Amino acid sequence: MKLELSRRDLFLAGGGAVAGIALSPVPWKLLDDLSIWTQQPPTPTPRPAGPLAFRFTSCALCPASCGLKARCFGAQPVGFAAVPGHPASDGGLCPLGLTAHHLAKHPLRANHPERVSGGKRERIDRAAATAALSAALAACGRDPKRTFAVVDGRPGRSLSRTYRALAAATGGLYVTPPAAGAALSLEALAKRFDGGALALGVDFSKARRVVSFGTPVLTDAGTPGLLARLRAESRRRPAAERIEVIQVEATRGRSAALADRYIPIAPGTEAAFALGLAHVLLDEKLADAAFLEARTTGLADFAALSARFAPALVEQKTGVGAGVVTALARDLAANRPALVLGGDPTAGPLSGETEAAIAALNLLLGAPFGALPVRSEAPRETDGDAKLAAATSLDALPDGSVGFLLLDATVAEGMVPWARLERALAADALVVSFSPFRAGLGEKATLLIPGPAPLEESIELEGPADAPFATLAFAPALLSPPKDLALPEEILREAAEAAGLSLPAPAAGARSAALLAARRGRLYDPAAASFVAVGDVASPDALGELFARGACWVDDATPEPKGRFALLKDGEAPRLLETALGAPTALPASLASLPRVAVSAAPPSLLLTKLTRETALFSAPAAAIPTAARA
Amino acid sequence: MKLPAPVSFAVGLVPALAAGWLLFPRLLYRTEAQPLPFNHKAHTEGGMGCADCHAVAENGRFAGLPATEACAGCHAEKGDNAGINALVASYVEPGREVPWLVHARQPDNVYFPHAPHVTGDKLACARCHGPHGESTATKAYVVNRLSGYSRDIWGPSIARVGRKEWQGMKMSDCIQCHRAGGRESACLDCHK
Amino acid sequence: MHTSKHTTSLPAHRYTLVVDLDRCTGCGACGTACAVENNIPPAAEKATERTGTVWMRVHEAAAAGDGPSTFVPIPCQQCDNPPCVDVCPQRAIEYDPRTGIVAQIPVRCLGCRYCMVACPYHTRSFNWWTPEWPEGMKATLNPDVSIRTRGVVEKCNFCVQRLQAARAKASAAGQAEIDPADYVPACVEACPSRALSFGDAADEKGEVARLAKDPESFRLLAGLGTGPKVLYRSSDPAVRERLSRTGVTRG
Repeated sequence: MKLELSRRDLFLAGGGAVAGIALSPVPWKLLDDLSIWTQQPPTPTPRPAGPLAFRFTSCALCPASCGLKARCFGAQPVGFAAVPGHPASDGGLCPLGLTAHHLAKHPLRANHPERVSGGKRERIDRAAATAALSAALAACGRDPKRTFAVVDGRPGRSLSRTYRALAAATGGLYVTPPAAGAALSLEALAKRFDGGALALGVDFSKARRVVSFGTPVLTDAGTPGLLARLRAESRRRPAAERIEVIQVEATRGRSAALADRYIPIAPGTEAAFALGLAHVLLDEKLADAAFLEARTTGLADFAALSARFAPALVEQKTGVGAGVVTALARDLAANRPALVLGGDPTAGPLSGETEAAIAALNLLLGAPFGALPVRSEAPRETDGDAKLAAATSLDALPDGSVGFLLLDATVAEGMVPWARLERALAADALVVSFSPFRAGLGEKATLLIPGPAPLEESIELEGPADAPFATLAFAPALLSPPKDLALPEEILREAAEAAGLSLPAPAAGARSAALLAARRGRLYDPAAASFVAVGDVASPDALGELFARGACWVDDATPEPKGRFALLKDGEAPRLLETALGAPTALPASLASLPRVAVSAAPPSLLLTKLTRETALFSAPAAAIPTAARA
Repeated sequence: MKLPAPVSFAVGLVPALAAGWLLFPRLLYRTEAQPLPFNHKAHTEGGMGCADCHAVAENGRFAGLPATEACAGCHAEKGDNAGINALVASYVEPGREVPWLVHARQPDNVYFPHAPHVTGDKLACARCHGPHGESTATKAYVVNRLSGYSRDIWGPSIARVGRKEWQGMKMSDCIQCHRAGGRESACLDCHK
Repeated sequence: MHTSKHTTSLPAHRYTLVVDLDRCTGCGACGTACAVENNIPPAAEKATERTGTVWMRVHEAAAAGDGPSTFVPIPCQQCDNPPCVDVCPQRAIEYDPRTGIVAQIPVRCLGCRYCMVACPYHTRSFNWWTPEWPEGMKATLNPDVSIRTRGVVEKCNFCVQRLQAARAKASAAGQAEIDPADYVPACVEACPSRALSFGDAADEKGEVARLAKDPESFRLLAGLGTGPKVLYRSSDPAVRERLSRTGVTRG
């Protein structure tokens, strides 16, 4: 019997197979599993690295030293919120601070010492880095034409003390960056005081008119959002209590766009404009006569100078209508307290003469001790018997004189322009940076010895120089640095020892001891949202506990000192006249398109490309942001 | 001789059914070994409850599997049990977390809070996890090759028949219970 | 007040974001905090303002001449009568009848982008590229938010994961209702000038309900009848008039 198989059987068997598969789980289960498979995200959501906890610290990226409330899973921070009521920031945070936890793993992060020559980066070990440092230190001591210079962006830390000791031991220089933006205006004003050293801050809450010559008061200067908040709150109060901001600037930046009044002015003619306002104030007897009488000298000389700046001349120089100048002067006089600030920290300082004119205007308006309150510095340990170099300015660096330049990790390009530093370098100078990033000044180093990234070290942060009172924010580390990271302090001491230099022992806990000894001010505990007086802190251990909780010290009010301000200093009049009568200058180039990037030593997080590329608010991407998200 | 049509049909049907019901599940799933043996019963018999290791925190978050630190609270040193010795040697001493394979792990976009179920509605752990606490050995982790999730999500029966109420953790299983309790709600209650 | 066609009555909670335009400085903190919280990746290499994924975008509404600009942060307006819901062929958008939140379910989305066309506020983003983070940055992602894939639409969900967490916390404490302090979206927490506030408009005694009745409050494109639950405030009548009538055009 022969089995005859036909095509029909094949079809039937095929049909049976299809029916069998259809009656089996295959199609339905495959459909279900495949649909789940299509939902797999390209990057799996990370599992929590531990239980959820909130930890407090402070942001070290710019001088504002804002409080940070970190949302952490285990040891991993995943986001930040502001700390309402924090004495340094009062609940402000900017995009840089909100992404601070990305920086430790930034694609431009360097984890090992690198020697850079001819554009090539060569990884070296710690011993080689130390040897290079010690050889350079030894050489600096021998050759007077090749000095050692160190630039420190955040003076007052224990590392700063080591820098100063090194500078003293090698006959080198310890350089701190100049005051920038509004702090420079305050410094210029304080230098005219004859009653001893004076520091002034800005208290926007006491002002009713804020005139800004290019300082981004509403956006990027000082505590984020502070003036904008105070101004908005004042708008719902009676007209006589309202705060108004007048921005006098050549370009219409974001602060100018937000100001109540924006006065476009020819660049470099700010001095003429300020003197024009002074002229109207004096001419119409609108100045604060009581303050001028009690607190200033040289009114007659200054009046003679400002008398030359009638509104018509000011219009010709600055391009601002004479009527606008007169009206503004009258408005300021009628709405005191008024204060005047100048200089954009991201675009270079105003000239000293312009700052002199701004200082005089502040005096005519009686701003000092009211809207510009006197403040003290946070307590610091004394130098004791240690041989420590005093801070000097960049001007102390002659061209071609520096054989070994050491750049601290806190020095931002916006604080000290690289062109200025480069001029000071001798041929074949060693440029060492402790920056943890191959970016900013870290990129200029011939020897990069990366230190801890932001949030990787516990430090104390002094608040900005233009805050109304001194603050000292404690910033406990949230992240642990890479295991074999060389700490600047350690490596410097090793190198100094190898070079035969003796340094004073590190003053561990000296700052805390100084704070306790001064018995001044209060400490804000962010976790409890409450203050404790320094006098009530029992011991250094109790202070250390507050430190670990991210506390912030805030100073008491400083009593008003006796003394007078000089409206005009000796020999200042001709220079001031020359500047104010001079021709407009070119527009200053702004360094950064993103807020605060220029004053931060760290490159911005890649996430800020959301702002630079995906919104129209910020201009072309900052150079420090790599184009590709891939590391 | 010609084959009768039903026979020809059956020649295709029967192997297909066999393949679909018997072979396919074997191909679809693979078994992975757990990193350590674990005896739940030995722990619960010692008087421990589920929540001693798998607790809901005060902030409502479920801790999931205990960290190695919690294990080390009792098992800091080696003894005469091979499993404990492996735990101590491989995880407690080097301070590593045990990479357990979790039978109940849900897809990324699922948000399952234990607090409303366990604390709020007082559901017993066994309602969804079965008599897991009585197991004396780690159950083999059977994983779906396509979706990447444990077979426990689908349930032991490929046809999903004859399941006990705790067998199966698919969205339809969640919905069934929610619907029965009149708790049907919005997508984002259970998705993220 | 609008009655939604998706529910028979207004929801029990009406979570509402209040934006005080007098305070906004356009600093971008809200959008940055949003991207951190919601696992939104850095901009892709070719991303532009039109193709990027931004849930909270700040627009500059310039006044004529040198007058002050108004910066307007625009997230999903969480409409009570959302046009996006009706056009979705996948039912990937849902109006939550208990919270008023318009929920986007990215895994259901097939990427047709009808919703983006339907949304008059341009607050939806299409994922043109696979989201990518540098390796080290992945550890900083928020475990509470799942990552979306290329080819789907996403938008602001009012940080609903924080509502979920607040509910779990309430459950653990044996409470039926959440503590309002536990549910604050990331943008609100981040805003340095406190331009953003958040609350339940259904709470008649609450601050948001009071602000909703304030004459300084308005809604974008109020005439469309979408019933946004993002409330804008300005002390300038001209700004109120212009934005409630024309909104802010993109680009």
